[in-house]
Amino acid sequence: MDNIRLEWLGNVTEMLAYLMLGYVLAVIGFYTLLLLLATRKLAKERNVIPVQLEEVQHSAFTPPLSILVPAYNEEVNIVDSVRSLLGINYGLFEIIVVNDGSKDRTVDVMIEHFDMFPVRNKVQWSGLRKETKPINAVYSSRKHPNLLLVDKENGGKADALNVGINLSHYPYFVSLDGDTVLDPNAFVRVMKPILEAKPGEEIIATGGSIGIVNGSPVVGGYLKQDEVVLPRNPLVAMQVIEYLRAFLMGRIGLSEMNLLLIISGAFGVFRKDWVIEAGGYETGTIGEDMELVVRLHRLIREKKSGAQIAYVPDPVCWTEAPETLSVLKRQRTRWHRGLFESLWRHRVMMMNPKYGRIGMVAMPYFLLVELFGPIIEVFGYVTVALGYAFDVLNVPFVIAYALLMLLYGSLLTSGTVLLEELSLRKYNRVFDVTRMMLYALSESFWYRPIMLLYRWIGFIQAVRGKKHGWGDMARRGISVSANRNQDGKGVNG
Amino acid sequence: MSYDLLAIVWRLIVVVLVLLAALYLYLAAAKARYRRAKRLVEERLVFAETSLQRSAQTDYPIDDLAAVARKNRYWLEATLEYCVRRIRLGGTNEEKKKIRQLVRASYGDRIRKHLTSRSWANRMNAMLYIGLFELDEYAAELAWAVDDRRRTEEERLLGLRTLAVLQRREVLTYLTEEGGALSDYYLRHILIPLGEPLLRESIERFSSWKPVVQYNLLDVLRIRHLRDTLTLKLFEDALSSDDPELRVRALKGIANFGYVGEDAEASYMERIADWKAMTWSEKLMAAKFMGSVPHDRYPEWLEQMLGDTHYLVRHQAMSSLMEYPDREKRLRCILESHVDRYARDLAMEMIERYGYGQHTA
Repeated sequence: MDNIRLEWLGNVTEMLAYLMLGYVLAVIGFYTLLLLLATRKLAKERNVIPVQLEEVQHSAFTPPLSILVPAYNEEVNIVDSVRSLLGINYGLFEIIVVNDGSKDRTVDVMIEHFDMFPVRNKVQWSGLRKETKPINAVYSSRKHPNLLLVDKENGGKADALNVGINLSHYPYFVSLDGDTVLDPNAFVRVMKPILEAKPGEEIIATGGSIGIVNGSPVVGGYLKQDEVVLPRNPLVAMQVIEYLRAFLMGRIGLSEMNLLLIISGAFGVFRKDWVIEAGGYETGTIGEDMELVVRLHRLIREKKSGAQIAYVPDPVCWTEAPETLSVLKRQRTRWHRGLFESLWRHRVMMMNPKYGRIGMVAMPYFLLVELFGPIIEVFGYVTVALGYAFDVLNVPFVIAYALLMLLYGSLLTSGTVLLEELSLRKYNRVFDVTRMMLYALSESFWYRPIMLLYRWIGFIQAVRGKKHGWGDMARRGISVSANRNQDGKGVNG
Repeated sequence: MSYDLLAIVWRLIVVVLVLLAALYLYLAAAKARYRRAKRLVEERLVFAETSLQRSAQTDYPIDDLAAVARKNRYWLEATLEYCVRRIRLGGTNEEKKKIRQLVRASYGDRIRKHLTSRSWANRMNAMLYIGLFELDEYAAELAWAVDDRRRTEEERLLGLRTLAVLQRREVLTYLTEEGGALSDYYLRHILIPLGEPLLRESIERFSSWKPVVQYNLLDVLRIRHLRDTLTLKLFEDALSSDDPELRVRALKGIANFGYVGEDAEASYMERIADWKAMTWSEKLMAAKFMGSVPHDRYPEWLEQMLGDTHYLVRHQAMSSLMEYPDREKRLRCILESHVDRYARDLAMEMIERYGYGQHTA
């Protein structure tokens, strides 16, 4: 190759390197901002005695809730999940479990444990004008009049939720996963922003944080709060840190700036009338939770409403995380595909001033950092390699810079352990904190490359238009008895 | 230049490493401290519960306990935790008085300081404790806090609510001036703790309140179950208001009362006759009203309401209809002859439900 061309390539590589540098600094800056916002909020509210919660809980004015639990092959966890729901501290609520064509004994287990009987005539309450898969039967419980089971043909989680919306009585609904274990005060906490909304202010959805239950004792559907431990399995322990980062840093920070684009499908409260007006859950997408929230944001802007979507770090629901790479891969590729689909569906909002901060900040952030992040990262490595090849690389500087970014990333992740100390205080063993810090330091060497690979796969699958399903999560079971039955040992990771 | 930049980067690496180490040491110490404090408080709580229980119920002196609580942080936490728990369980006036004495003796000197502390959490906790233990000697400071615009809105509203718990009339003045800007949630939280004298005064000042305060006052009167002529008259007057929302709240209140005067009822019946012109929320409450305050004419309107476009109205109409005699006969008649399909569906569901109920009775 002649010198001019080489020089040109070298210049281009150098320019790309500067672009990459700018991108990394912008991302780091944004994450730092999120961390600072979250720290400020949590540090301020720390140590306030939780007296006011009880007033919300016992208030005659607390709005009634419909709790929707879509379930697919949940025979191992569904009973504990429903038991934990029946024991929540909340005034008036109903539980609607929607069995989405499970291949296991989910329905039988529910009927057996809760003494359920078929209801031939069940009036549909809500006018969600969306076709759903046929319902085979509706069951009511003799023991718990506020518990309903709907058995329907398989149509996916979104379809199951739409059926639940149709049969729900109340103006607010909560979407939960079938393997969820809740803090008893979770609903009281998550409804607080809705109740406290000022005149003219409207909160149409709130989300809570998700914790990982693997390795911690769950007895009779209740997590023993004082015995939460960091799982021994490194893969799961790393997910704990990831979840803390996502919820305590990411979502609090984004919520403070009213940029929250996602409420986890595992635990979110929605105003039913808004969801109905938005058209319910979209069945043709895999990330139905994010897609609905983006659609709600869109509806808010299009109606020129001041409605908001909030996040509450206090209420925690606990869920089972994948313990093997194969299941984790399925989960993460699915999430990335869901992200792609949500952003693609609502691409009209991207950089569109009509949609305010959501269109101008949140959507570009999710596009450039979350969706294209893995592509840009690999591109960065290629740029470095090219830079070296064309001798435009300042090797000592690049090494030092890479080390700085690595350490700073670890610092940000470690910052979320600080946020956990300021708020949840679930992981209280010094041993657990030490392990979390070590995992935060080592993340870039093993976990991050794995996630990079999975997100790449998810991206390619999304671009190719891969069909989705529930994803078969290999259930170990969250309860103590389930774990003892499986391996004869205790439950510690 | 490049060398300077490299030097800067290395310095930053050192800074980050130091921060990481400092963060780890802080977290490890914080977690260890928290676990130790929790264990110590739990140990002391077990002991404190016995001795404080004895103190609360007898003339056993609390001075020694209070002295230890003032000196030792963990004892203070245990004492406050016990007192909070105990006062919420209720008890005789004498017991509550003892609890207050103990709180004053242990924590009293810090409350004034904490009310003006730099820490938001301390200020909030001070107000929460004042409200929980009804320490009315701090009313003046609370009133000042409510007016202090430098404080957060949440803080000022908590101060206002605490004044309401202490039965201070300043609350009514505040509601007159600024009640219109408050949310339903906060209005209720301020109105709910008001005692009967202040509630009566609120009723007398009803026409001076902004609409949102009026609505919430009616709701609070409903759940407080004040059953006197003054309250009933207020509900009846609101029933004939031109404000539909006021009528809705009045209907809820009267449905709870279970009684309404003949004149008010006759006047409202004229409105019910034209129920189709009502908003859905008024229809819903009218249906509820007709179930709680029976009258021969109501079943006819309730059956018509079964064909309303709104599910909740239909369901309430059905529930109210089921309060009248000959339930099964009515349901079968609706099933056979009602013009509205949804009404027939609802009747079928109710027949199944009541039919099942008889088997398991």
